[in-house]
Amino acid sequence: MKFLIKIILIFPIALSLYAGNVEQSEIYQSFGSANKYFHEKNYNKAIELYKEIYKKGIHNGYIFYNIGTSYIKKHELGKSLYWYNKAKFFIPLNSSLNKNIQIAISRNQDNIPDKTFFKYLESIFILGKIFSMKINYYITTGLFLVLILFLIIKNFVINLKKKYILNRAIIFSLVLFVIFSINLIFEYYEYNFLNTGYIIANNTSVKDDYNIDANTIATVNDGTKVFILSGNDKFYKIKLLNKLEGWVLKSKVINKENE
Amino acid sequence: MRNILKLIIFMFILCSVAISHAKESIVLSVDSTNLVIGQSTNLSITISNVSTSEKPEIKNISDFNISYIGTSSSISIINGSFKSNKTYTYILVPLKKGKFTIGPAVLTSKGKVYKSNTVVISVSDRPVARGKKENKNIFLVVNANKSNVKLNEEVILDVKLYRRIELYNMRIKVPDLNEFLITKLTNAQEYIEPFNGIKYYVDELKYSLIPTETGKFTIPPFILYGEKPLSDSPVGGFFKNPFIAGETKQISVPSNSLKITVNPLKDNVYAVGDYSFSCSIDKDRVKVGESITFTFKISGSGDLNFSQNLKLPKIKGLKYYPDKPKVSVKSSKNGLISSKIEKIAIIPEKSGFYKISKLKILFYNPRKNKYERFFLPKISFDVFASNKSKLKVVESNNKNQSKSQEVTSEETIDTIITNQPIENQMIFISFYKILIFYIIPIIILIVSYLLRYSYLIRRANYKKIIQSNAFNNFKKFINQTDDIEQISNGIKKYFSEKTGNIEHSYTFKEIILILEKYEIEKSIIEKLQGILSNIEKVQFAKSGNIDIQLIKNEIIRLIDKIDKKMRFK
Repeated sequence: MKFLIKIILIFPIALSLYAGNVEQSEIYQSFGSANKYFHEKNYNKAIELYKEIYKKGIHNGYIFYNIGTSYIKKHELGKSLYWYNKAKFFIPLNSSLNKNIQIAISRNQDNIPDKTFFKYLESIFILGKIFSMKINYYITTGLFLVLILFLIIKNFVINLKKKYILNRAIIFSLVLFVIFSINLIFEYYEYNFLNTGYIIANNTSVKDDYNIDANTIATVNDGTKVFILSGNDKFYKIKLLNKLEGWVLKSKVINKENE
Repeated sequence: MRNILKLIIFMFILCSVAISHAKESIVLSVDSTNLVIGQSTNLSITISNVSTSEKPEIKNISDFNISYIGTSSSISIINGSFKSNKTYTYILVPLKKGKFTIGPAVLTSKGKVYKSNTVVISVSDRPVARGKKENKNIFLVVNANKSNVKLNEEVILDVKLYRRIELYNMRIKVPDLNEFLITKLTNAQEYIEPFNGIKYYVDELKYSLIPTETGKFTIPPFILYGEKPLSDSPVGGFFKNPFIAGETKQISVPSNSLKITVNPLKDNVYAVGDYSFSCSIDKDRVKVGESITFTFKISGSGDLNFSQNLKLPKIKGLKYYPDKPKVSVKSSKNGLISSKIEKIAIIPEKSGFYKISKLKILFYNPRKNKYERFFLPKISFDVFASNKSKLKVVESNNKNQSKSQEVTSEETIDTIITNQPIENQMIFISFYKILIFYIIPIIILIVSYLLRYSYLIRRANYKKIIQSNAFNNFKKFINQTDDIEQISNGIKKYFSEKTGNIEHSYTFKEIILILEKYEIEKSIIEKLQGILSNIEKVQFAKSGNIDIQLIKNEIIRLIDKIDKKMRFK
């Protein structure tokens, strides 16, 4: 009976571990194949395989970087910048990523100066540009636990001689926790909810209304960053970095919906 | 034959005698001596019997604009007197108001100086009465589309000849302008236009005027030359020359003059006009040493002959070799239309990724009457090291030895990353994580607060109980002992309990201070002070006979009083 109980308990754990290993090996297999296709300059196939890994729920900065690099090799600036931007959340200090982003941005013909309020937010929440989302999360959680620990110590140790040191430590950890948690929230929001995109074709017309015959108010090129405000079946309402708002065809933009 | 020779010699002697007796003179005359500013008149200098090819010099003419028209000569023998005349004709346009004495005209011939008469001309500033033109059969009007312009800004001159008579061999003489570049835009357009109710044949010509210097300038009159039939004849076309006209008279019709102010431009203005432009490079990926051609095209209304040449910013590793720009200018009825192509060969000397940031070009747009700043699109290109011809950098050291170093670095796109673990880097905030890292610590914190609170309550209650029972405990303690030292300790213990500071043992001095702090009456304090000093004496000096019971009673009474007072404070 005891043996049976043991089997019943151990089996699901063993099964889940086995399933996890199988999935992990499949991912590595796809990753290896994609890398091979990339080196053979079959960028389309490489992108397809990298995206397969991503579709399995793997949000990995290196995968995104490799997709971006494959696109830049295909001279598709908008798509490469989109994926590089995603990679930046996970490997922000990677030198190759930053170098390639600079090259891609410099190849964009528009180079619209950023006049949006978002630019200032990004400057304030600078920690997101230094720490990856996961590191930021770990630091925030760690600071929270330290803060709780200090508070508990303060509650239990009543006759502490150098109480002011503990008070300062509490204030310091509280400030750090607030800073990191706000940065984490901003980073999480930017990655999951902020609908940004990139123009993927040169001479893309920005219309003043959502139909083909509407007046063209601007022409933008491959690699130009846009904020998606709303959309319908065919068009996105976008906002350019110079705050100009207009409509562009969905097929000319890469964003979360059509990545 | 001899007779013919004699006749010739006779004629020669006769002529020479006649010439030698003819009077030499130089006469200066004008058609009109009353003028308005800008109104022109003919000035003639007639030189009689002076054999010279030199032009006479006219003195005191600085307040007038003078244009030379031509010369005519005549020879006559009247009553044996030989007379030769040579007439120099000018157009004179006054520039200032006032009374001016023109002349004399001075001519030097064979060392002899001839001087003419002078002429007084009155110049007024009242405008030309249109009525005068109305009555004229022919007049020439020049209008400019603007009178205040920037340097190199195009001015369109509209030259209109109004006429009601036939004219042959017409030609317009454009004034000599040093400060302007003048270009004919259109050929003569002929049409009929009413002027003050009278129909005129109008021949219209357009000129483009580009100022090349700054300042205030007067454009001298345009002059129409033509031949007018002596008898009335029907009006014909412009520049017609019918040989059937019979006898004609040479006429010249000056136009009005114009004043134009030319203002300077700002520094670094590329061109003046209304232009559109584009720029491109022929390759975006080259080897070191290979040339890239940068082409800048600009076109629009204005004259690009006066434009500057484009200068690319200095970038380390790039050398520029500009070609001679190609400029083409065409005329249209609205002005000059020009285009310019500038080509610059860019030779990269090092590998890498280069970008020529946005170039700023400043224009003056006369149509909008303001300066406009344009930016050329950013241009970038990759330069990679050639495998076959690696660039060699030669360095020399102190010993004058040289060594070569190969530069093979190539700054291009970094390749993919293959050696990193492919794990999910996304944060997943699961219930268990929230429970372990957030909810449980918060619960522990809350519990710790609760425990602390209950402890403090208990502690506070204990303190209160001690405080309230302090006197009873003291009384009990005192009654149980006769030792003076114990009595002293009992007093100290009472005050420790009464003030709630159980762990602390007060000195007598501190006790007095506490009483003062509680504002106990002075008499009580003094009494207690006396008892305490007695106790101290007995304790340390071991001197004096004291009644312990008396002290005990006295101290219990005093502490009772103090206890009651302290309770209410």
